[in-house]
Amino acid sequence: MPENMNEIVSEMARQVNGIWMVTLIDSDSMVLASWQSADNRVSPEALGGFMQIFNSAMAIFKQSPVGFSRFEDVIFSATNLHQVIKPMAEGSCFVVVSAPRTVPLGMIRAMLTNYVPRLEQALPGRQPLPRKDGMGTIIP
Amino acid sequence: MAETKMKDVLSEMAGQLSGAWVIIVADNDGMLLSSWSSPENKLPPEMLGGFIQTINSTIDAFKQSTGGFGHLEDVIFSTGFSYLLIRPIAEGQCFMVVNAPKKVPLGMIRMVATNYTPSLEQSLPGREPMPKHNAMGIVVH
Repeated sequence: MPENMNEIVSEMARQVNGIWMVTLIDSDSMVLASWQSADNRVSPEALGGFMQIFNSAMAIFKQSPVGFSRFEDVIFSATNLHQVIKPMAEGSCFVVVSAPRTVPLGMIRAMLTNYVPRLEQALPGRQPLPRKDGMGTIIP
Repeated sequence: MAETKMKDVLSEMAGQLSGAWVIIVADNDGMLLSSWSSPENKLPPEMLGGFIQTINSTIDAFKQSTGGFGHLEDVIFSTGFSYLLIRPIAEGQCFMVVNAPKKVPLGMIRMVATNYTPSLEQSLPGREPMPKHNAMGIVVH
């Protein structure tokens, strides 16, 4: 049974103090799972609109000769806010984290890097991660 | 000459960012104002200018979705092998773009971009030089 995406998303938010919002959305900006703190000031509707435009820009990049076909993450920093977008599951989904500038950017990125494999596994229809022994060998 | 001055600032920036591939200043239509590139650079600066035009609509959408959170400071794209930092300068009239391999620390890229923004803004044609301050922070005429 895959893990519940909402549970993973709220666990992510608990790992870093001060986060406003963690949202998992697909490439059509449909929300798959989300968590918001009581202090959140970014409306999910506004985020959806932004992500639609972001997605169309991404589609252009992938075809552009600049060659940035595969992003690990994109960070928007405003005076009072960080917004980090990390593509996952081969670009079919994105995790978006919004946080005030008081939250260290490195913590947000590390948290995303560590949780993306679990989120990918929790997507409906994805194969479970192979089990490994202490030497890193896959156990059938 | 504004162009020479801007090139000097970009070269000085590049000197602080050992390993950087390319640094450009482009206007918000993606037209190149000035650029510096290392011998290892494989990306034509004009192409990065075009990239600005593509990202501009996303930046506008970000500003609308996060209204009230202050102004946009920078956008950073991380790929498997490089960082691309885009920073609006001169009240969004232009953009500074830095492309560097991942061996260059991201914190250094951001710090250098922050520290050189005022010099680049001053080197734009028609911009007033920054006021000089004395030790007490008072403007000296």
